[in-house]
Amino acid sequence: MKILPCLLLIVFSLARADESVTRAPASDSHAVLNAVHSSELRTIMARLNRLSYEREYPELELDRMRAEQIRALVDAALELDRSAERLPDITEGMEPESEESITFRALSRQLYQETVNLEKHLDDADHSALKAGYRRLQHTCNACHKLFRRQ
Amino acid sequence: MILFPAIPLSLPARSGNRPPRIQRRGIPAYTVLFALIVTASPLPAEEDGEISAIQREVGDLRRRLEELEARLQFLLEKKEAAAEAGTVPGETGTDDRMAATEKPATNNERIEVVNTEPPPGPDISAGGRIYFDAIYNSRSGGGGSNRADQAFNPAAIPVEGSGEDHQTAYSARDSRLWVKAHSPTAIGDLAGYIEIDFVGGGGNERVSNSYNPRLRHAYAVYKGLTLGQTYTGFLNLSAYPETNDSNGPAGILNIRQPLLRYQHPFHWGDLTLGLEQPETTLTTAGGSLAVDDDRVPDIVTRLDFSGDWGNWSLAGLIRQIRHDSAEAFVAADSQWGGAVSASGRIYIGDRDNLRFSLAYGNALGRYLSFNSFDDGVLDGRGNITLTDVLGGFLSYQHWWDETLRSSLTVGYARADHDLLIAPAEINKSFYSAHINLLWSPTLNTSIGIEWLYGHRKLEDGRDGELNRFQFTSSYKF
Repeated sequence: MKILPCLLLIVFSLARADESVTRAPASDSHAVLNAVHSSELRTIMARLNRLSYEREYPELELDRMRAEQIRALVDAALELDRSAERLPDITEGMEPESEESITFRALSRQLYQETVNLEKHLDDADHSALKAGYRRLQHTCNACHKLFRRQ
Repeated sequence: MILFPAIPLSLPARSGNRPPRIQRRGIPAYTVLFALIVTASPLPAEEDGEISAIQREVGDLRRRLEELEARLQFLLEKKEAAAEAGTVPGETGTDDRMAATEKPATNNERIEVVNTEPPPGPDISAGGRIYFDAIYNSRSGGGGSNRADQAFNPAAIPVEGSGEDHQTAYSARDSRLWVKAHSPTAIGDLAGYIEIDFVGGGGNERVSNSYNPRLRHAYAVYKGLTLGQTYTGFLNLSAYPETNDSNGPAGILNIRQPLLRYQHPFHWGDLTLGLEQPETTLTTAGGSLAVDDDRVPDIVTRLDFSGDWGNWSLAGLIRQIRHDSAEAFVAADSQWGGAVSASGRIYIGDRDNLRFSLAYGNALGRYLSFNSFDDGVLDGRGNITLTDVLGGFLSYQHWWDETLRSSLTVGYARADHDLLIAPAEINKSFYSAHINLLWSPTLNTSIGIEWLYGHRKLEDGRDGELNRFQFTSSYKF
């Protein structure tokens, strides 16, 4: 039963983390969660997907536009990752070595690694790798949401 | 119980001025065990795809753990070897990051995150789209290889006393093929692009409908420099409305031509400067004339402003309209003219957007509405009188959900000819309206229907109208 409050705290924190980015920053640790840009992340992903519907842009121009959006995605994902990283430290009652905490941090680490990969592909202008990297990032997001977003 | 020792994970340093990452803890092996337990727990059947994704994540975690074990073993062996040789890795400049770039001796899989080698040679890829139209026209515009029946050209709408009623046309000519290449170089990404469609004329509907390919784009880009053939810099492509019809509404700017263009980003937006292919078109008593007498390229400039709200552009065009004749009694003449335009796409809410364009000038001519107007009028003595032209459109796109959307588009174009010298049977104005419903079951497919109404009016007062129903399917690959 000890795990239940921890789980509730994680769900609550993640739900708060998903809220709008327009909240005013504050000095307490929960404000950090409120500043998580996951709604921005979703907006960027939606715009990336919608580029597929563009009919007249040459594919080369679409590459440039995708790269711009992925650059914004990288920034938002790193911001999300930083907030996620602090989650166990600011959740009272959370045992650092609890199973949820460990899994959460493992997925957080994976998010970070794939974001760094994406950034590297951007710097290399490796547009083929960008697509695959973006798909991997989406899988990681989905996995974490599946496990920890219970609403 | 801890089955395996915790292993520190080193990741590459972050670039730029981002704050340093907090040191992460190691991964005990029961992370994997827990993840397996989690993924084995019952979940709704409709979420099988996401379960598979999680299972892949678990597989990745397991693989990473194995890599880390191998890496730890490698480092331990290396440390022992260095100790035997009297050196320590850290003292010889081998930090964690450098160590991570080395391939583990016992693992054939590379650690992707630390591969810093640029990809060798150009990255070449090809793609295209299969585009199918099934069209019903209230009036047939005909045209070369019946193109006017397949794509909206306002200047081809039959006026009173011409054209035929009711006609069906099927077409796959707007299918496209493209090849692109990215070549990483020591000084940046060099990219090239070629695209064709099948609107190049020829062919007929009797046996094979084998129409000729047509060059749409062929250009290279290095940083902000573009050389080759593509859309004019006078056009903001983001404003281009989504219509089933390939040509778009009356009043649209739509020109592709050879050009030399440079785009530079500033903190307030982008500035584009370009020199583009000149081509003078003139109205004479005998009809429209495209002369090869141009000496100065068309000069184009554009300012782009963008943000989360969308984008808009302000563009300027300067052209020399010139005619020369071999006939002794006809003088050579040239006139300088210009045009300005404002266009953009503004996001409204989460998905909806408003696209617009408005252009005006006395050298707008062939840039507007698919060459429906000439740049000027040529009198019998060889004098050129430039024609004022105005055109624009407004398009609102509404997304019913993530895959279903509609666009309502209206367009208008008008020319003010000097009727003392211009023949009366030339185009005076056009307007059009499109409304459609498009569905994309996947990101690379679209199917939908559209109703198009077009109206054309001549200077002599005659007019004509067109109603078109169009089914379209598109598959991008």
